[in-house]
Amino acid sequence: MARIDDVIAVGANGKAYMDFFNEAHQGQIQSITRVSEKGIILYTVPNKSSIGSDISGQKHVREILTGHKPVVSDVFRTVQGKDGVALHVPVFRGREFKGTIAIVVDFENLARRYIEVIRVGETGCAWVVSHNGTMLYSPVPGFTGRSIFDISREYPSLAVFAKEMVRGGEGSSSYEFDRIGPRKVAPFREHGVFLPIRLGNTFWSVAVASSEAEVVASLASFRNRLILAMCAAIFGGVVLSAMGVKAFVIVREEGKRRQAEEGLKESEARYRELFERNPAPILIYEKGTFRILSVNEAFLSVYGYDAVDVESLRLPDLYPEGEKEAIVALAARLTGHAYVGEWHHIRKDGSIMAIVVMSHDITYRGCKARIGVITDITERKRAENQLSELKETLEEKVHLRTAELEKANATLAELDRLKSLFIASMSHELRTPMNSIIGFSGILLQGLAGPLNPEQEKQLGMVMVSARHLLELITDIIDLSKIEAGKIALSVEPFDLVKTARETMDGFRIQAEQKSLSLAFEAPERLVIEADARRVRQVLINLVGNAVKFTEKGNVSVSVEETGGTATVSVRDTGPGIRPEDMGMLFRQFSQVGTPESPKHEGTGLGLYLSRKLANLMGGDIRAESAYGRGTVFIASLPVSRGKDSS
Amino acid sequence: MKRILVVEDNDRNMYLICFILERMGHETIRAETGEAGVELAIREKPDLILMDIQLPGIDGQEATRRIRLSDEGKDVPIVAITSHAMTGDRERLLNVGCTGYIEKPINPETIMREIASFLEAKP
Repeated sequence: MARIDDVIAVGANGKAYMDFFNEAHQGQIQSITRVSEKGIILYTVPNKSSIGSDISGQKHVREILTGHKPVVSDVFRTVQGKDGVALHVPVFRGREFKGTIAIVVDFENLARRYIEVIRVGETGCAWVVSHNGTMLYSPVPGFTGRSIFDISREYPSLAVFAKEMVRGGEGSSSYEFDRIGPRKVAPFREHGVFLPIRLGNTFWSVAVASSEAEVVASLASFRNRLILAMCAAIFGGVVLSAMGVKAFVIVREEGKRRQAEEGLKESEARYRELFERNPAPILIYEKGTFRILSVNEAFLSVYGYDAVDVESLRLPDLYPEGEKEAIVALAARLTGHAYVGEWHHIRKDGSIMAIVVMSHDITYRGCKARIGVITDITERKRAENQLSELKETLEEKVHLRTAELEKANATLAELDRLKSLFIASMSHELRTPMNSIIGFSGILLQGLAGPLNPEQEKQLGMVMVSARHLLELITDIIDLSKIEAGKIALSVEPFDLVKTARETMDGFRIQAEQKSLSLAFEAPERLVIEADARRVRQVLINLVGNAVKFTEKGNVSVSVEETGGTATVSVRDTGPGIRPEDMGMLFRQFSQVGTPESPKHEGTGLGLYLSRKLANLMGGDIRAESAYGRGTVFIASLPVSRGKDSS
Repeated sequence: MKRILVVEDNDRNMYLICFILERMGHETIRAETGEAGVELAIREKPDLILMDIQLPGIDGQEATRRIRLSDEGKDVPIVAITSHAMTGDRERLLNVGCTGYIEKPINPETIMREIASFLEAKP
């Protein structure tokens, strides 16, 4: 650095160094100059005459004096008559700007060393312009140093190219030109690229151009080579992939085939196993010839044949005479679809078995064949036969039993008819002697046949009571039979229920007085209802008779009333009453409700049952309410009008 | 004294009825069948007929109908003797021409009273 300081100081050492530097770079630099901060040349080698001259007026010198940054001058014609470029670098002592050191470079020399070597093919060349358009280097003699805008007056398209260059950007374009190096040729299109080289305060733009023909040719060749390469690549690729695919397919197919073969072998083995070891006999016969092609083990064991026997067998041979024709006819018709049929097969030993065969078309060793699976249904058939025999027996039995039942039914019906007939005839036959007994007893008691002594009268009275009771019993039974046979005829007519009730009660007056019972009657003046008056009377006699019979003290009251179309006759007594648990027995036939302490009363046990039946027949009912130990009330209800539901 | 025709197939009942009627001082004519009853009713022209309904051959109803068809029997009172079981036929009996009816079993007191009333009613 001491040398630089010396140069800055422009002392003897500095001057000596500058001299030395100039000599050392002879040919490359044209001069080395020390310029003061005011732009005055302090020292310069080799042209010492210009020392002391003021160069601050030059543009690039002004720039460095104010900007203190390295600058490059435009190309200028030096005092030596050569094109040069001045490079100024600022120098400082401490921080103080002390002017510049400038080197003028021989441009042609520079260009020759760095730019001329840029050759592109036959026609390519490089050229450089400075930022103001000065042609710094051109392969065309005489162009260097001139303004490119002057040159491009002759070449308008070059002007456009040049303008792009001095703008400082980079790019590519084309222009018309007519020189190749120093040679003048026919105008051609030149393609060029340009880019700037930054140099401190300025830039140079370097263009590299080449003729279109050459560019296109190289591009074409490139393209051709590219196409060729592409083609080769594509072809290679195609061939390769085709080969690959083919290989892949082959490999895979091979794998599949092997797999399929293995599968086939396996499934063949499996099916062969299924066929051979199947517990059901299986046979395969050829269609048309009915030749047995194959049978399984079960077939041999069930039929008793050996493999050699089977070779000569035909399908019809298995069938008994009666079925041979039918099976041949049927088998000739069978195609494809599964067939199921019941037949008989003959074993080798001649025994016959019932079978079910299921068959289907197959191809067997290239033959059109049919496979049949056979089930021995001998046992099933036997069971079926047994079942059907049983069924027949059962049907027979059912038939027989039905006939028996029908007969029994007929007998019952006959018996029923006979019973009705019996009752009808007995009703007369039973009454007739009773009439005699009662009638003659009555005559004797009345003294019509002469006087009786007291004992005779007493005993005859007993005969009379018993006879009346017996007649009552007979009458009740006959009535009941008729009701149950639905043969009772009602004689419905309007009558005064009040009158009937009063007369009924009056009929028991003597009997009540004998027991010191008081009788009470409560009723409207008249109540006409439509019913069978005699049957109503029969019911009321039963109810009042019961009340008087069972009541030992107190009273019996009869009341008649009508509510909402229903007439009711209530017969209330102060008798022993009925226990709640006995209420259900009241209206049962042949039942009498009593108390242990009360005496057994004479009665048929049919009265209430019959009364209720009669009331029901007339569209009414009888119900009872009782307080045990205090008394009972029987309420007979009857519709006032029979209306439309007249029986 | 009146002449009373009794049509009754049962001889004990016949005896019973006739015994009562005779004790009442009447004369009895007896018929044991319906046919005989009709014949005697026309021939003897009794003052009253007691007709049992259940008879062998033609029954009491039919006999009554026939008696009523004759000139001799068209006005005579005919009292049916019926049983309790026959009550459904009461209308029918009156329709065929019976004047009234007496129910079995025969009570001497009742029959005497009834017969007296039927005889009195006769014009």
